[in-house]
Amino acid sequence: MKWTKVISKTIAYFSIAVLLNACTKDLKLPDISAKNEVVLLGELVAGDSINFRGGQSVPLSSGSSLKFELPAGLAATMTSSSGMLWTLNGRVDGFSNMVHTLIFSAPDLIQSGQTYTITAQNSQLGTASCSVTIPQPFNTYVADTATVLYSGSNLWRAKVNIIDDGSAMNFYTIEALKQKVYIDGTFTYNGQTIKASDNKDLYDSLKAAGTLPPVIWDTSYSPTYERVDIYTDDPATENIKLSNALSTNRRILLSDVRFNGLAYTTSVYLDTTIFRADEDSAKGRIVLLVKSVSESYFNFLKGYEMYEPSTGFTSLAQPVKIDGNVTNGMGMVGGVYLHKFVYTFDQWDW
Amino acid sequence: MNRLLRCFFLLCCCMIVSGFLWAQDGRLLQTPFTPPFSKGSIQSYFESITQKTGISISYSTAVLNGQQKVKMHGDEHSVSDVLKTIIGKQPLKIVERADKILIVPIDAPDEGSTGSVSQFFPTDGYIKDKNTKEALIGASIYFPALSAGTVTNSFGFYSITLPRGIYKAYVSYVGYRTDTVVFNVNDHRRVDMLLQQDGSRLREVKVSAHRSNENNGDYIQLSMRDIARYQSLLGETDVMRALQMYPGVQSGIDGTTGIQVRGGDPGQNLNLLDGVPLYYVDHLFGVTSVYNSDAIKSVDFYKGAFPARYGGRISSIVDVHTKDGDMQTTGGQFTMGLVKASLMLEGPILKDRCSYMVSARRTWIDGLFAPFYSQVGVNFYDINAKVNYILNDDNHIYLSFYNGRDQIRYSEDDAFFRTRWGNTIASAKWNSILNPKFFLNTIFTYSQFSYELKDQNQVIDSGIISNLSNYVGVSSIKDISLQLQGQWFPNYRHKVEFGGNYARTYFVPTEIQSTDSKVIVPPTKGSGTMLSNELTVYAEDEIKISKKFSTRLGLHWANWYSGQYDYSSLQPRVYFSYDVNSESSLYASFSHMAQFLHLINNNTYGLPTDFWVPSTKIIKPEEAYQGTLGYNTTIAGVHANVEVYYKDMLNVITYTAGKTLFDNSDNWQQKVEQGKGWAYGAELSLEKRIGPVSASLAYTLAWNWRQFDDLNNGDPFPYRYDRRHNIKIAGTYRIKKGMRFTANWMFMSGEAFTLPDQVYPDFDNNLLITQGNASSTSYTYHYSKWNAYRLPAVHRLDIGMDFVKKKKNNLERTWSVGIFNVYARKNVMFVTLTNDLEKGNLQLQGLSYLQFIPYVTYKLKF
Repeated sequence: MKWTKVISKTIAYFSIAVLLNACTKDLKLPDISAKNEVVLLGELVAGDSINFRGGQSVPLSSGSSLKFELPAGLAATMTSSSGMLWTLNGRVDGFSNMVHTLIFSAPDLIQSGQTYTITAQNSQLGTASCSVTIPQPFNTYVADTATVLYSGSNLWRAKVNIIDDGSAMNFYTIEALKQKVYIDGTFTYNGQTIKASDNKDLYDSLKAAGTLPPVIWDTSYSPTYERVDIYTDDPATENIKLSNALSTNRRILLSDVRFNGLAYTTSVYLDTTIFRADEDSAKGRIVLLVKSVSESYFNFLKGYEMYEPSTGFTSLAQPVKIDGNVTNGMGMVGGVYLHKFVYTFDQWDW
Repeated sequence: MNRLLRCFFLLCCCMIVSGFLWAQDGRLLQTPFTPPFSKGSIQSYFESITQKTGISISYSTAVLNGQQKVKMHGDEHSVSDVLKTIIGKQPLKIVERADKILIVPIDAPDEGSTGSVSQFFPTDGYIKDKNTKEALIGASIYFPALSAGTVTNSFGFYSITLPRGIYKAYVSYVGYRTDTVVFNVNDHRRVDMLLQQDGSRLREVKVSAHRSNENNGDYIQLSMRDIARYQSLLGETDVMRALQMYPGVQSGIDGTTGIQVRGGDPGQNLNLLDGVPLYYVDHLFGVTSVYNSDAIKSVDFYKGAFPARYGGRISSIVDVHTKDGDMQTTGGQFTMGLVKASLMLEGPILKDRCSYMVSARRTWIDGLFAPFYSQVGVNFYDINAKVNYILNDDNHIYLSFYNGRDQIRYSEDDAFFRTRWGNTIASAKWNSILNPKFFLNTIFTYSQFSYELKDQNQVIDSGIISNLSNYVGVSSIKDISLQLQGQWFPNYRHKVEFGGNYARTYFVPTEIQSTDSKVIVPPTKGSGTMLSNELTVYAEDEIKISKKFSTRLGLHWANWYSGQYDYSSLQPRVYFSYDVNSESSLYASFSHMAQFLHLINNNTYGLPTDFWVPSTKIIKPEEAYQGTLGYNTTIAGVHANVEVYYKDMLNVITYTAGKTLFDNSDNWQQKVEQGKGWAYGAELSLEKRIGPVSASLAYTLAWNWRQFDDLNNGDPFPYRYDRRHNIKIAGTYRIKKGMRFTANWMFMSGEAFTLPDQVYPDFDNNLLITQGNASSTSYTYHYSKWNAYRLPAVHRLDIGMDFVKKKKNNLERTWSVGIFNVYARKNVMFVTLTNDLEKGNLQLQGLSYLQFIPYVTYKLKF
């Protein structure tokens, strides 16, 4: 909540003003004999190809350097409950240096209802494994959207209806992401193929004169996303139990305890700050994801929801232990069945 | 716990049996004794018997002249023989009673006789300060001839029933001259006594027959003089800081006033102000407590061996008594320090009948910063007021009031933020002496703690208010109670206390009131107001079984109920003391305590992000079982106490990891968890005075554990303030009259904290999701064990000088100067992990403050 930031700032000012000689001193980290461990991160999404990431941790010990090296030679095998086997080698992709992990992928599609076991091995890091259950399909739809005033701010509300199948305990998440969309076109002018973005002035002048030749439009989507802050006032959600209706969330977490086998409607509220952009390079679409997730993934996300990486570590705050599903390692590979709802608020000026 | 309880009771049974064996009649007189000389005074023969056999002989000087010379026949071989020779044909008889021999008139009936005329008569009255007529709490009156005595209660009242005779008594109180009073006991008498303050001494040893009332490891009584010995941060004289100098008591963060007692957390301390519970005891982030030292008369502090009249918290009792007000003259005190100013006024409304006391404090340092930084304001104030009215010799009325507030304010352009918190308490007491042996105290109390946070944001666009939010969050607890406390003094061997209490408590753990009328989607409701009833009944008997052996047996029963729950707790309280000799005693205790209220504590500053929540159907009352064993002695002028303790705690409460409680939610019960705790250790205290120099040492060796199913994989882990060693050394040197030097040195082992053992790449980043401007170097901390690491040890030296000058017209001014943390030790308050981009690693950094802080205070008594 913003008032917590205000009170934190106030206390900081007061502390500086009154406690004139506060100072810091460097302390030695303890010498612990922990070693780097295998880290597995990602989601196995029903209907999507196999895709997860692997890396290594860094022990917090005296003298250790905070540098996430890409673990050369990290290989993985994956088996399914139906008996399929994949051998995957971690490789560097365009994001590896940014996110400090290798990618493991295969074109085969993940099936709902299956349980996949991933075993990752490295000669120095050892062997780690995790078991990922893919939820069964479920139905959901967005019944209604509107712009509303939520505690003094204009937010975009979506009423999400989830139809729970009742056969098992189900766990749902709702999140919103902005995905950049690049729209560009090509046309032929004076015998030359011209990209509209490269020669916007020509394009504009031809369009204004009404002599624009046919344009072949190409739409591409960024593989990265920007998270949209999301709110809920639904007391059935874990978010309300963890914090309150005025807290921003990454994801809304909802188990079917109160509506097992029934249809349930919950409202989520999205911060519209990044819905629209001025620059074409920042324009995109809002993707509302309603997911059914595995129980271990749901529990992981509950801890992750409390975790604030940007605030760093302080011994004053109670630590947040995030329980993953990787044995002899760290991280989480979650099982997901998802529905995607796309909304576009940006307008491209072509 | 069960094993501990069985062992304790076995030990006590042995002590009781040995005590009673000692008390058999007839045995003393038959003790073999041959007089070492054939002729001497009666008193010399009595002393010889006592020296060689340990038997005490009492007599009234009204019936026997101790200086009279007698001659032995030469055939005396027992105590009985010698005494018969001494009394000869005088109309006296020898009576063996419990562990002593009495020589009484021949016609004196036995104690407990059903004869028409009782030979035991009650004497009662008040012991007060001679100058101010202020009642003295815990003053001792002791009759050496009878090896009997008593102490005054919380209102300065005493009662003792004695056999007919003339007896000398010593009346003593710390900081006052011991008085010798002769009592002629032949009827009920009301004897009020006045004691003169003794300004030359810092501490006197009280002469008392009641060991349970003397300072020992479990019980400490502090006078204002004791509190003033420990001036510390910013020259503040504070009750809580003084208590931190005793073994078994430590601060949380160094420099703050919160106390943790024998492994308990601050919410397990019952803080009373004139019998009314206070729910928040810190001002200004813990720089000072809510107890205004200028208004305090004395403090009773228990960390074990809890009397049955106390309940509701499981770790300690801080029972602060304020001054009643000078019945004779109007006067007061003005104090000015670096942070605050204080004024206390007291005086008679009707001389010797009605008095008042008013004391107020307020920060002034915020005014100093205001011209330079008006956006932020931090201040506090408090006011204590009391009226004391003597209706007649047997009835007293007291009215007390306290109100205090802390505030943080922040304003900038169109935003305004303010948080404020504080206590308001009031009490009305009626003391009644129903008969010389029966004292009754009736108290009506009101106590409220509230916390309010206000946040206003106003957006004005082209002169039009386009957005307005007005957020107000509150948390509060309020209780109203009626208490009856009775004291019955049937004879000098028994002091019976009993009573009951009914309290009605209203909790609002969290509530947010948004007054934004444009809101279409209102926030979810708050936790709502919870109502609880508490009923307690207690009874206790303090028994002097024999000359050496005394005990206090009590039972405290508490019941908390509402429409949703009904909890009861039967809490035995036992205490035993055995006088090894006149200088040494051995004692043991067992207490079962329970508390229905829980403080969800942030364990850091004195910040109002602590919340009081009640027990519910889900949240059970906390309980503690504590056993202690200790030894008091004086050797070569050194007062020493050593004690061991073990405490089992059930249903201790904590935040579940990472969650905050203060929010707009009615699910607060799911944000906390209950578990177990246990603490054990040994405490040593030494105190010595040689002329103008006095010194004390307090050492604690302690372990402190917690276990919660959802934390640390359910494994036990050290409590945050599990400080293995705790040493405090205090010294005072009276350089000359009006000039005093003090030095305090303290050492505490580092507190436990949880440090991540690994970091790994961020999860969302690896889903190629960024959060706004979050850096791609975000990572996740991984924790294996809770509180597995230690901060560096804390130690510092504080020194101070007092310059006292008496001026004309009864004025006394004192300048105090000093330095907190003389050698500027950088005591780490907390640690952070920072990313050292140059070195490419994480750096652990400790933040410290409070290094070398000089202070000066001015005090004027008038």
